[in-house]
Amino acid sequence: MKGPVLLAAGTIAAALAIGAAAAAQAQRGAAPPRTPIPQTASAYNGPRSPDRKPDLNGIWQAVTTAHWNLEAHSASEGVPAGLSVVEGGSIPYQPAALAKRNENFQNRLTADPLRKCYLPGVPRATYLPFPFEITQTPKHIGIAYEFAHATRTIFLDGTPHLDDLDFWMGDARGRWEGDTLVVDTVSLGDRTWFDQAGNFHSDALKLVERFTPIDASHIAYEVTFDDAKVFTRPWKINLVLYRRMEKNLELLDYECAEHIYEKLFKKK
Amino acid sequence: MMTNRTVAAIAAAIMLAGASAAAHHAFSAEFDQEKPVNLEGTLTKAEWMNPHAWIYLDVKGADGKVVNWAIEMGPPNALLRRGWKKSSMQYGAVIKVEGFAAKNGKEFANATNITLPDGTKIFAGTDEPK
Amino acid sequence: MITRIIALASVALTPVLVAAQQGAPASPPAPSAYPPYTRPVSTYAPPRTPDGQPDISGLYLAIPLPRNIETPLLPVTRPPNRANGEFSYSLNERPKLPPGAIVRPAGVDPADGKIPLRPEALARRKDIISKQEQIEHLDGRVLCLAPGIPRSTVPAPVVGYQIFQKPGYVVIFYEQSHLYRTIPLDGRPPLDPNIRKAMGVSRGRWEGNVLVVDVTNFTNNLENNWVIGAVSATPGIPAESLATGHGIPHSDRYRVTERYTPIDANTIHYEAIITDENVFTQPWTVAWYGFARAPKDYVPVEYACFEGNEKNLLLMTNTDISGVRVQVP
Repeated sequence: MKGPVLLAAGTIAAALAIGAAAAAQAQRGAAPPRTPIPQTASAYNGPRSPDRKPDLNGIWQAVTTAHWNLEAHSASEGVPAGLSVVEGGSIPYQPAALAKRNENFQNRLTADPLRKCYLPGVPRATYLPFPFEITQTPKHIGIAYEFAHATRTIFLDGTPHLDDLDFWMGDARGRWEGDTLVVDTVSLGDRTWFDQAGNFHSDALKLVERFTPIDASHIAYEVTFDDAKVFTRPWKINLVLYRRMEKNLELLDYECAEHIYEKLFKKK
Repeated sequence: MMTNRTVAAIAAAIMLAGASAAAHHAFSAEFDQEKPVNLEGTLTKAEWMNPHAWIYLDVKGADGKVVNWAIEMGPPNALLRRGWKKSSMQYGAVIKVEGFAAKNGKEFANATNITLPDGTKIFAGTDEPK
Repeated sequence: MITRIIALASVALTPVLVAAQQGAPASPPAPSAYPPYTRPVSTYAPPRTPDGQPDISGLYLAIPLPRNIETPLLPVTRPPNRANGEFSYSLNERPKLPPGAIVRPAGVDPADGKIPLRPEALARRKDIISKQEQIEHLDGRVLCLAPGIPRSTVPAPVVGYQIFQKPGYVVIFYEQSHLYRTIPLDGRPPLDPNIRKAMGVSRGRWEGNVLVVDVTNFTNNLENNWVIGAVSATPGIPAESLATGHGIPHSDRYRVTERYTPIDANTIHYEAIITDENVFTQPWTVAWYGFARAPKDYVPVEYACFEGNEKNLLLMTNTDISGVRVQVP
């Protein structure tokens, strides 16, 4: 859990450092340095908040094909090819659930709740092709998503979950483990999909997200999915979140509901 | 002892009187304060969704036929702040509803009060403070 | 007897209601009988955020007083009608006005408290209000469209606000329909006029301890995008005296200047100056005590509107939207 993720982050950071150092050395014509030993402490050197946590404030976006399909897929009309973001490649569905997923895929143009402008749920909201904005304080982290102005508030105040409820974007409680933001989310209901390919869950879903900043502009994002009604075991995805660097960027509107009404009013 | 109709009318007055700080829509757009209903049935489904939670009851009519009624409640934000959760009502439980029927004559109603199987009575509607 | 009086009065919604209730105080004065509106002057000095802003961050509820925009305030004469009190404002606590605050109608300028509509805008309003059973004309808030500004700050039951501050920004999360605004404080220019947002494009600055926000670039794709208005319309009330601000579409010139004034550690006063030359005969102003700090154990929860609205739309307009699908990126 903690070890491998930090190792991965450290390795990525080390790799970036190696690359930069090697380039610098190459310019000077010297030999590249020895491979640094990955640190067990975080290698994060980016900005920090007043309470000494990595400062995640700002606008971020995933660059990935996960929103089309978490699993590996070749291109089809309008959909680029993509490697799997799932550790191990495939989502470990129970047999009946796999049949359901395949049925979802066949019916995706009508069955995908996103095409009804329903909230995307978690973690789909993270890797939709839209930016999102993190506002970070010691007790609360607010995440605003451009898609359908979805929001999540992650509580870092030690309060317990609101459970036995259903929220489209779930109920999230977070804590810092070193420089990794760890978020537990429950009460996610059963009406959202994970992507446009029909990957789905039951109301037993529990998520653990780990946001591990690599540097000021990259976050290693890992999500563990635990849903004993649908999957044979917990499973993970891994993505990179990129800081949007443009000056004076702000989230714009994707008021999906207006598109529904405009279509409806035209038909009438 | 207040009659059903008195309770209903007062509840309606309270619901209608708050012009400004009300539900996300006007009660009277969908439901009829002149059509109070008292329903008793078994819970078949509960949709814990904003802007209004809905529960569904199988109600046996006077003719013996069982009809499924859709009952509108207040927003979950309000319900949970009064201690409601998803498991507050179990599927199959016998629930009593005091409320108002829909204007369109179909089996929809808006709930004012809900009585749970153990006798607990909870306000389930949308309060409209003046 | 009392049943009928209450039933009648609830529809009429005039001072007759008040007079008919036994022991009720006299009907409230007309808006012009209130003292002229002056901005609240507060000696309260908020603490500072790490980047030097007055700290107004935290969780807030609306102050639940009637906020009819045009008609006189109706006093709260009825006792709490539920065993556990006014649920809407959470945990049976009802935020109170700060000492010395005057309870007054929301429309503070012009002095008569009426929305200064151009004649053609009033005519259009009457038409729209008469067609509320048609989904094409239905209040956008009921359609679960974003209600815009200042409507998102009109007190509503059940929902509250979270104000965040981070270096260079104030961010407001509205519980209602999970809306949000990010307000940059760095003096950057507004966006290209081709960019429109339902909640407008905000540009803020601190004037002493007062947050002043200019909001422009509002969406007006649909006639249903009503940015002014209280929560619900009042059935049976004529459109021109509608106590709610309903039925007023705005043009692309619509803009608002807001002022958030911290009164004390627990209260923020809200003012909005509204301008739209195509709709109103003059700029006009609404103001109220908009934010009361939430009780310590208040937890904001999700209020997803559009997802659960299909049945309501079916009952109100006999329109089934459940079959509509749109492309998404």
